Amino acid sequence: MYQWDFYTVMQSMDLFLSGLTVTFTYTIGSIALGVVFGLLAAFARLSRFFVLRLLARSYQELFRCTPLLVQILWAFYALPLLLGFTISNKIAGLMTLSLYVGAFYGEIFRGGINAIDKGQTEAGAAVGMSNGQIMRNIIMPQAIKKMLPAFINQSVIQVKNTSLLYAISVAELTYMTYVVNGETYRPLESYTIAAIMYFMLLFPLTQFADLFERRMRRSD
Amino acid sequence: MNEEIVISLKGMTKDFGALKVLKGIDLDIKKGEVVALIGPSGSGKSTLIRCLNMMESPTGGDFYFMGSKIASTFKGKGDETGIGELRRRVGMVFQHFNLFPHRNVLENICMGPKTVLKQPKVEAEKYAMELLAKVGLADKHNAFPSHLSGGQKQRVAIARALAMRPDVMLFDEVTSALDPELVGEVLQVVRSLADSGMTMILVTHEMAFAADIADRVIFLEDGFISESGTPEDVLVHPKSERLQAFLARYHN
Repeated sequence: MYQWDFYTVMQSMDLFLSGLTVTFTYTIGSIALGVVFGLLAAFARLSRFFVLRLLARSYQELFRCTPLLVQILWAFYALPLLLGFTISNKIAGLMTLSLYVGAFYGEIFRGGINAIDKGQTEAGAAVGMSNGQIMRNIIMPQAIKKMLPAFINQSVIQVKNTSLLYAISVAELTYMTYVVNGETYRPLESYTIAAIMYFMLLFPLTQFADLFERRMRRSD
Repeated sequence: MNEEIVISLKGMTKDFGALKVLKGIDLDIKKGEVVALIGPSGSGKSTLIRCLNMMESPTGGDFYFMGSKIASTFKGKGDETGIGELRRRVGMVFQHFNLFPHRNVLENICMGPKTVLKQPKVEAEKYAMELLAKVGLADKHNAFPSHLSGGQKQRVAIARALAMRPDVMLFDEVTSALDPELVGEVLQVVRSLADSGMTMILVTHEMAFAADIADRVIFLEDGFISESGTPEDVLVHPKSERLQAFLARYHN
C-alpha cells in the first residue's frame, strides 16, 4: 500500500504558487496577444485583397497543422540559428503560444462575423453608415455572442497549453512541479497537486462560461 | 419647383458576372412623385431599386441625385455625391425588415441619426418617439425586435429609415414577407407617407395598392422598362401581351 505523504511536498508550496502565477501570466499574455493576432487574421481573411487573404490563411494553417510542442522547440532552439541571435525562452514561449492561439481565434472570429445575416450590414449601409461603423455598432456586438462559447473553449485549452513551456524551462506550474518532484522524489503527490491546481484554475472558468452562455441566450 | 428631378438614371446597366440584369434604364423621378415598379421575378426590379441607394453598384450608365453625379466611392469628391451621402438622403426599407436584434426599438431608430448624423441622444430620441407615434408604435419603444410581429417590425423599419429625414424613400417588397393579415397596417403607413408628399419608389406585388397610391407605374421586363405611365395606363390598359399576361395573374 502506497504511503501518501503530502507534507514533504507541501513544504514546496511556494514553488507551486510561483509556477501557478507564471502559468496565469502566460495565459493572460498569450490570450491578449492571441486576440490581436486573431483579429488581424480574421479581418485579413475577410478582406477583398487576395494577398492579405493568402497571408492570413498561410499563417493560420501553418500554426494549426503543426504540433504546439514542435513550434515551441523550433522557436527556441531552431529559429535563433536562422536569425543569428538568441531568443529568451520567455519571449519564444509567449510569442509561440500567442501565434498558435491566434490562428484558432482567427477562425472563431471569422466564423462569428460570417454568421451575421447580410441584411444587417445592408440595414446599416442604408442609413449611410461606413463599413467601420457597421462593424462596430452592428456586426461585432452580435458576432461576439456567437463567438463566445468557442472563444472560451479555446481559451481553456490555452491555459493547459502553457504547460508545454516546461520543455524550454519556463518556470510555469508544470516545470515547477518537475522541480519539486526532483527535490522530493514524490511524483504522485507533486503531479496530483499540479493537476488540482490546473483544475481549480479552469473549473470556475468553464462554469462561468456556461452561466454566461445561458444569460446570453436568454437575452436573444 | 414641383418639376424638380430628384433621381435621374441614364442608360444604367447592371451585370452579375455574365448575367445582365439591367440592360439600360433611363428614368427620371420628380420630387414628391410616387413610383411603383412591377414586373415578373427576374425582371430586375429589385436590382433597380437597390441601385438607387447604391446597395448594388451599377455596371454602366450614369446616376444623378439632385443633379449631382453619384461617385463610386463612399466619400464623394469634387462635384460628385458620395455613396455615404446618397444613402443618408435616400432611405430604404427591406423585405425582411433587417432590424438590429441586439437593440431595442428606440435604439434601432436612433442608431443612424446618432452614428451618422452625430445627433445628440436627446434630440434623436425625441424625433424617434414622434416617428413611432406616427407609425402607431409609441408604446413599443422599449421592446426588442424579437418581441414584435412582422407588421410591427416593418413599421419600426420604416421609422428607422425616416429618422434620417431622407429626401427619398425606397420600399423593396416591404409586405412580401408578412402574413396576409399584417399587410394592411404596413400599407397604411406607406400610404400616409405618400400623402405627406414624400418622394417614393416601391417595388411591390400589391397591384391594387400600386394603382391606388402611385403617380406612375413602371413595368420592368427582362432588364428594360417596357411600359410606363399612370396607373390607369399601365394597369388598366396594358399595351403589351406580356404585361396583360402578368396582370391577369393578379386579377383572379
